[in-house]
Amino acid sequence: MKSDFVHPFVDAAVKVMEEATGTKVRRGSVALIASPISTLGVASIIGILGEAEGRMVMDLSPETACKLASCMNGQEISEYDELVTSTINELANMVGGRAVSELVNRGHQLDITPPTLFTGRDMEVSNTALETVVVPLETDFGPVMLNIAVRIK
Amino acid sequence: MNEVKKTKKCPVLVVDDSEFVARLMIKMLDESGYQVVGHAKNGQDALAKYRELNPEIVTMDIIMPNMGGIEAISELFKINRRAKVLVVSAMGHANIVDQAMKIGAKHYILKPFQKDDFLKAVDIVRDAA
Repeated sequence: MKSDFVHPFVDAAVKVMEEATGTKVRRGSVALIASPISTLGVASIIGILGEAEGRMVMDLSPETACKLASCMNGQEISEYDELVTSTINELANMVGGRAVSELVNRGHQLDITPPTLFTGRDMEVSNTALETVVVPLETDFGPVMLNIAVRIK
Repeated sequence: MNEVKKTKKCPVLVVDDSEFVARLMIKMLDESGYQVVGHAKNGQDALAKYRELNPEIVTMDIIMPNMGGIEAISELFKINRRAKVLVVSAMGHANIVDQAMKIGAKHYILKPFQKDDFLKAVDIVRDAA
């Protein structure tokens, strides 16, 4: 996978989360892993379309999702609900949108799909055709894993 | 002049498939004196609500299911060629901004946004000719 396509997603994730929450986000070591990817329980998936295809997954625990949503909505949300789903999906949408916009501004032809969110224990994301770059992001609300799998067509 | 206009309860239609973003924008608009008359979750819904509610300003997302924002803006101008549209999107690349402005959007703001920046953008659209 070309790193040119990965870095904009990581940069966008850090910047968007910092802007949306007013807190610092620290990035961990990048790892390349084969499918399937185990998730932490809440996974918002954005499809990547155009000259490259693949997906970006924002993966976090329900507890971290509630804390992030509480901060972004300015109200305490103690139980996972529709507003948490909507907030996490929008966070993923903003990250994907900013990353793809950066790549388009560099001359690539790309687009994204609206986000889809999956929840559940012991859930896995599979795609045998794509290797996945996993970037752990440490936030004040808990860990957020950014998974990016892109293939040039 | 701006304060006088705000007290007139300028009607706004919020178009965004995200409940989170819509709630945020509605709260900000309410607090600053705008009158939010409706919320649509996609382009088709936006066109129906525009006809029904006749808002002065429309905030329009771009990436939405069923009908996206670019197509919705084009269709909206067929209903009212003087419609005032503020694009509020996570997509900020030059191609899409140019496209939105070329078909008639008055202004463009990128998500995530701060309250002051968002309201300033709404004011610009409200005051646009």
